[in-house]
Amino acid sequence: MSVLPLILSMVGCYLAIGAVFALAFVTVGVQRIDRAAAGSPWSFRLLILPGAAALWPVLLVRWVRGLPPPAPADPRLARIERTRSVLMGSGAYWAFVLLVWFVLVALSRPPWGASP
Amino acid sequence: MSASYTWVHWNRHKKVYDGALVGAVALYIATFVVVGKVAFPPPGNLSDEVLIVRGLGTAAFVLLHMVLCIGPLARLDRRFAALLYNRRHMGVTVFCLGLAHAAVSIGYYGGFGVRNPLLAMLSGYGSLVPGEWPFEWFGLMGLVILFLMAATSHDFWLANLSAASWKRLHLLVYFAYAALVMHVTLGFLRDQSTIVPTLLVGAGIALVASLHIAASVMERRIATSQAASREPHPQWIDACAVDDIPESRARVVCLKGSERIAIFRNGGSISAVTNVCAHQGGPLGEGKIVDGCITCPWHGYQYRAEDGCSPPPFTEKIHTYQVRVQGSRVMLNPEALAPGTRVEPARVGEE
Repeated sequence: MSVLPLILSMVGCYLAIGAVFALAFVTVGVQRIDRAAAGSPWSFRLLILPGAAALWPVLLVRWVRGLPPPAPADPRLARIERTRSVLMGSGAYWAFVLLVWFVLVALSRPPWGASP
Repeated sequence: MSASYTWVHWNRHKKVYDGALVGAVALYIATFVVVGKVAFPPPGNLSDEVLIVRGLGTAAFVLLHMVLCIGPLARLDRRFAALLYNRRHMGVTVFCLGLAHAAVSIGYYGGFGVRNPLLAMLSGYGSLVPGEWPFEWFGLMGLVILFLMAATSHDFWLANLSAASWKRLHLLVYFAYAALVMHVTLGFLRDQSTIVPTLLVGAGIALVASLHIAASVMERRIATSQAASREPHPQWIDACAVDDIPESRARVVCLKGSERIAIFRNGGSISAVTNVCAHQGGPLGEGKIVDGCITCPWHGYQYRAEDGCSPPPFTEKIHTYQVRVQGSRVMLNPEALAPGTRVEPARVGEE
């Protein structure tokens, strides 16, 4: 288990950098990458703070390169939504999910009525 | 819509929705704790902390089922669209409940700071032995996904991550659901001596599954009935009868290998636009015309039927299509025009 503290430390470092970045981002960076954010209230900036701390590499690249927001009409959106609809509407998929779940229940617990 | 950002665009509907949501959650947790104390009197009673942990956890799990069911329900019955409108607040509530559940349980089982609580939790509180199921890991996995979804639920993220990336990120809700089902199954259900909680979880999965399948069957029925008589790429196609389109609503047509197209009727005018909302990919053809604009049933995004542009000051645009009326039939050119291209609506009764 010695690798676990190391992983947790790395995650902690990532989030610590993210927290510092996020403060700078919501203060001065957000209006540089998205003009709609200029003059936005502090409540909006507070709301995007956790996301900025978690996704700081994405925002840092946008900020440094001065990239504008992506085009609002995204042709990939229709394909993604259709894929979701087909997969989640598949009876075979859900039958598989239920089967896996039944097996897990059967393997993970003592018979009902017996003390756990 | 993206004219400028504020933290929440409050309106009466959202206030009522959020008030009812918070009230219902508080009532559920209070009832859970009180019933738990009455049902399990000493000496075999559950501590207050355990009851609160379980109350928060079950509230989050039930609410997650509701979040997953609202989408297909709204497609099957338009009356549920009112619940869909503010679904993201319900999703954020699921995360908050999950976070509170994790915080209280990690604190309680980790001795409230005697050990590094996260490390204690992830190493199974010192009892990680072969055959033990690490259900906490699945809970953490689900919580991390719910956090990313809650943290990026504002439209700022939709605009700045790109609609496709945002959509992919938020489709992880299905992975979060799978992880939390594993968390509940390998943790809570394992300790239950009766079959009732297991049956309830099984019924929850079956409900989510059956609603998704039913919504998909309904969608496919529309698509196959429209696609059957089509040639691959004709210039103009016979889309439907004028009378097939309800007033202020749309008829959705699906072409082989192409996106769905929503043909709207507004008084004596017929217009066609893509069926995909630029916001989150919502089905525009299941919406209606409000104040002269096509209105998405998911979050109320609006577009003018004649050019696919959101009314000022908003800037969203969608694809438009050429249509004409021949007798009682609506003819459609399946070639998508650039988003925001103006097309003169076809007039019913004029050729």
